[in-house]
Amino acid sequence: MKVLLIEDDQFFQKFYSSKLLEQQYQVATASNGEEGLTQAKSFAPDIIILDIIMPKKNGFEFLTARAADPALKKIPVIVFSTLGQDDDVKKALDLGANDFVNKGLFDFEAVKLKIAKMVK
Amino acid sequence: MDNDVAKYKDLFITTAKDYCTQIIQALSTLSTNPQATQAIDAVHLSSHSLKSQNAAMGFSSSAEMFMTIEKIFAKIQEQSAHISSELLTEIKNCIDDFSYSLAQIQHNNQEQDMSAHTEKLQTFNR
Repeated sequence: MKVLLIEDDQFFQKFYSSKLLEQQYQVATASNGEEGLTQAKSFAPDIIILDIIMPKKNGFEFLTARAADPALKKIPVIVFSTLGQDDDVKKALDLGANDFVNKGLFDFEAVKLKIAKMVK
Repeated sequence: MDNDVAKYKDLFITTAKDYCTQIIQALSTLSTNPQATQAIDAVHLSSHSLKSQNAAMGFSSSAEMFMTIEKIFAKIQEQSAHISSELLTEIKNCIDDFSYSLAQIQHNNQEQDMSAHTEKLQTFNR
């Protein structure tokens, strides 16, 4: 299964990408929303894990662009949330994100379950 | 400190130091140009990342401090708050003490208490 991880923070990008690779997912990463859109089109992931606060197109802008693209719209998106981001998560879900997970909990099992739920 | 968290301590310290450097550089820009958008965005983004990383590692006092800085700079981005030299000085003090805290974390996993800084920062977040 192919996962695109769009996350600017190197700490979280490295943690979650190595966990995904350990579990035999194919992983592509992007460090901002603009790069994420390019990767989403070329890598054609089965699912996208998306951070919200990023430079060069944030998560909201990515979701808006995704909603306007018939091919990208079909790819489920799980947003990464963190402390104090309840409003951001709600906004992301309103913009079409399918689910969210708190990246700060380091709960990779929760991430795996959500991926499995999204991609049957 | 549980297994995954302990394994990523070095990565946390390295990336946290990078973000601190970015904040310091942005503060320097803002001291002469308080309208500099890129510098304002840099402080917002870096403090957001430091909040998340510290929360993930269980360093809640630091996470709260950086969340406060993030909120202040979100208001500055929306132009509902402004940069002052007092704010810049306080953030510099926060980074100095956080850098000391990182050194303590590296040695003995002991986070320093940042609550006094959070309290002081709250006076800028009204």
